[in-house]
Amino acid sequence: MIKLLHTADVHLGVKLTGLGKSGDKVRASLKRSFSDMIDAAIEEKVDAFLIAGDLFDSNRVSNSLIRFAMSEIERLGEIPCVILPGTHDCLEQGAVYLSLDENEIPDNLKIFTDPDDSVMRFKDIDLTLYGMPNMSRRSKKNPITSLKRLEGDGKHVLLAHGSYMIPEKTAEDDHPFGLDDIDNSGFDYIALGHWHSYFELPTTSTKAAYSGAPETVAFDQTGAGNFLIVKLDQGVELEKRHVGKTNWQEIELSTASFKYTIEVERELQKYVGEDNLVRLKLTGIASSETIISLDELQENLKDKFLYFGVIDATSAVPDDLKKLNLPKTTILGQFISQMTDEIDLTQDPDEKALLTESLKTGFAMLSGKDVL
Amino acid sequence: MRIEKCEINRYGKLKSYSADFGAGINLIKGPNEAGKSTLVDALTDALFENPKTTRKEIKARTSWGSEQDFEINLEFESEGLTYTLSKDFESGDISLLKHSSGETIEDRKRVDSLVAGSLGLSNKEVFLATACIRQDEMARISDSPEAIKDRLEALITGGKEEVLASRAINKINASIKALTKDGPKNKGEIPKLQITRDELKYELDKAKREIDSTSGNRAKLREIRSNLARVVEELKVKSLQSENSRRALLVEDRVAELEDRFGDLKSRINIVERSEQIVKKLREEIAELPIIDKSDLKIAEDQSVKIEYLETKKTSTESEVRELTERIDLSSPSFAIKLMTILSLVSSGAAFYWYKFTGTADVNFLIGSGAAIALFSICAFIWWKRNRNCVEIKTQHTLKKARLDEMLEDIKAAQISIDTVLDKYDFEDVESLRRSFERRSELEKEIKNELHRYDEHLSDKSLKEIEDELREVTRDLAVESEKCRELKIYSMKPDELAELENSVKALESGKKKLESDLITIERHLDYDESGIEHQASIEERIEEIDSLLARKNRRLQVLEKTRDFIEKARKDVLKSTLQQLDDETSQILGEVTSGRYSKVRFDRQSLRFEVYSSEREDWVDPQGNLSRGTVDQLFLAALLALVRIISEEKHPVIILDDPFVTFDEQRRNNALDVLKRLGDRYQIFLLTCHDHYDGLTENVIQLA
Repeated sequence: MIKLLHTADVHLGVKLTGLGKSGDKVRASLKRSFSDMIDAAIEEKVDAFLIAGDLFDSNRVSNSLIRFAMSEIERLGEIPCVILPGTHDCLEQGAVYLSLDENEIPDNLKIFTDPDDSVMRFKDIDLTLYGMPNMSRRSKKNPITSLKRLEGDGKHVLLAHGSYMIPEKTAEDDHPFGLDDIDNSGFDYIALGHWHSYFELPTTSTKAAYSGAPETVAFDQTGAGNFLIVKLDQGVELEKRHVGKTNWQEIELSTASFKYTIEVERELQKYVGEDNLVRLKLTGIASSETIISLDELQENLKDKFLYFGVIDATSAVPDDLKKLNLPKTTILGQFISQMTDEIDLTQDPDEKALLTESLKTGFAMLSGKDVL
Repeated sequence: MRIEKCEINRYGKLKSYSADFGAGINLIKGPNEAGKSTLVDALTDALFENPKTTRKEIKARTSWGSEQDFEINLEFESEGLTYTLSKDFESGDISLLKHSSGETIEDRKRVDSLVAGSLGLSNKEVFLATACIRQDEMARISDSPEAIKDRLEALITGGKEEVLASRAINKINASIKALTKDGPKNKGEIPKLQITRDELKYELDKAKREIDSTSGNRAKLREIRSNLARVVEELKVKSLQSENSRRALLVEDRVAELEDRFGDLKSRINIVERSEQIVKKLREEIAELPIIDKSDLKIAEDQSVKIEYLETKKTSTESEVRELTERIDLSSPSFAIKLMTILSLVSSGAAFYWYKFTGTADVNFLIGSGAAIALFSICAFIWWKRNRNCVEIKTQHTLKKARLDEMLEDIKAAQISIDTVLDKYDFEDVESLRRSFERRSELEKEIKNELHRYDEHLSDKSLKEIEDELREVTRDLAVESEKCRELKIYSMKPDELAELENSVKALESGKKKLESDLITIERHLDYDESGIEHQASIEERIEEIDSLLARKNRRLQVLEKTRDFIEKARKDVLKSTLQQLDDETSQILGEVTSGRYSKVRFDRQSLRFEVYSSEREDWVDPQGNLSRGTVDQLFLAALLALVRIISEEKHPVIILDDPFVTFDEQRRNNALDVLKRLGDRYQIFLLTCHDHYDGLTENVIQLA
């Protein structure tokens, strides 16, 4: 039996949009997860450690990051590690893998850096690995059909980095391939990379799976945080292992249920955790009675999460203030009247929202509420 | 609102006071210090003051000598309902009894809110600014148009809503300032964020530049490493060659030195060995020679010299003896002498006798006998002389002979001594003995010299040590010679070696330069946290700052909009209030002046009233253009208009504390005309100590 560790899309050095200072912590988690996979490979005594693309988030990675990855891979000792350049670390000019110095590369590391030499034989373990390095970020080239299984005994595994073609969803230049390509390939297993969530393709003959990224790097990635232990014997057995350190959650709360900052804060307490990244989406109608300070929430909760962000998706409707029908002889009545008139006249939604917020602020202040 | 009844206890002069009030004008009469102003204060405190207050000026109103603070109960009607308001400043209790329902409200806020609602005036400040006109105030207002402005401003700034608006604007401005202030040291959140953003942008640009150079640097790094590897290899070869060449030279020198040492040691050993042989031979030779005591040799030699001397002496002495012997022989009287002597003697004797006996003496005879005597004398003298000589000689001879014998004895003794010595050493003669002695001495000296030379060559070492050293040198020489043979291939001429060493130096220098370049680039690459990680980190922070800036700017916009709208609302309310003031004042003045002056306007800029004069068909400043009575009416109308506007037709109680005290009759009458009209709608408390208002109303409360 051959046992492989299959991972992909580690994205070391990734830029995490919108996370601010928390980005550094997530990048540190990526490194920890990578190290943990190395530990798992050693513990499981796998026969090979496969990285099906995008080990690095870019070809412009730092030297220190390269050294980190190389030293971690070196820890595998006799276990061979095979890297397939993906889309982010594709084999373009100045590619990180082409710039590696010979003495930087551990003895156990093999990289598919030659499109004309995309076969690696590991006679000791009776394993033949195939991998067509991605030469650019976008390509219509099929990463599976571009390689043919050679004759020979042992297990034949292909590493590929691309997108399973879903009509109207997958871009045609996103290194696409179809189920038939996999079924007709003749490989024993295809270790896929590019999708960040674990996904086993519904093939009939050749087994193929996306291991998913070992760490989530965006709120929309729900199936990330895993790697695969692949056992090749009579058949192929996949075992999904969780390795991700961070928990990403987008929480939607409505003003229909929460009126005050403290209520929202209380609700969010159950998500508190130093490895948790939480993005609160506040929805509903922000009436004059809704006193939820997003700034205050942010300030109070930022240290309780790895990251805490807020999206204000509330729609402010000033009608409830109109209904108060305060006399215009009062400043408050005059203020509400003038602001609601202005809001009604304004077409620009942003300006409308701005005016509505001003209306709420002014209303609160003129009602004696200390909102500043 | 209409106050129907009041009960005042322990309030200044009003220690226990109660009164019933009617609708319209209530004339409260009393002399000075009767407590009219106290009553006004009591009513005001009853309406607005918190009974739990600890303010000294309120507490000071308690009647002198009273142990408890004051309490006030007011019964009032508002919108058809009757209430009793009780405030106990001792206990701090407050209650409002709603007569219709019997409900008692004890929550102060609710009570205050209800009272304010009934009055149409939100707080004490607004009440005092509008519905309460104190002694001389009216005159002051009439004399100075600024006073109305002050009252208006008091209204604007004293109203609760206005306070809130003003506070809101101040707070907003403070928040805006906190967001935007941009002093050299004191910066607001937005400038701070902008600075941070600029710094991050700079850092990002730098990071990007570094990243751009990173790939170049990595390529350069590869090239440098490759060059370095080549140079290191070349340097290794040449350094080895140079080192071996130097070693070859050194080994050659060492071999030469060892050979010299070998030769020296060998020579020294040879010399020493030869010396040993010589010494050995000399010692063998010396061994054969007897050890002659120097004293013996001296004896022998001395005796030998003595013998020699004695022999010489003996010879001479023998010669002298012989000579003396000869001389003895020669000097002894010869036979002829003797014979002649005897014969002469005999002849002389014979001649004597002859002549004695012959007595004859002829001449012949005499000649003969004289001749014979002469001869005899001569011969006898000769004989004596010779005999005497002979004795001397014989004595000498004897002495010499004795000397000679002595010599012979000495010689013999010397010879014996010599013989003894010679026999002792078994030598034949002294010369041999001496030679033997000298030879031995000579040999000993030679041995000594040889040993000295030996020692000199040994140089404080033993021969064994030198031999050991020689063995060591021989071994070293063998080793070094072997090395020399091995290194012979590297052997080169000094100028060739110098050239090679220069080449090595150049390579070393090149290596150092490459190593330095390598370190620089590695450092650069290390420092260059670079890559996307660093760039991402900065970009994320910039995004965060941007997002924060956007939020702050939006907040700023919201605040600015809020402030602008509040200010606008405030202005518009003021404007609307002023417009109402114009309208109300015009209406009241028109009523009072029977339509003579029915148009009044309040100038927004100068905050002064102007009245439209139909006679002049123009707006005129009442001061100086209208009669004093009209001006009084105007300002009273304006104040009452203010009350109406502010109270929004709630008709609050109006308190006039002898407002027209300084007015002349005409002015007073004009003012009273206005009051009479207002009395239809408002409850008016007119406090006075005069009788001017007698007959004005039925509701007269006399204060003692």
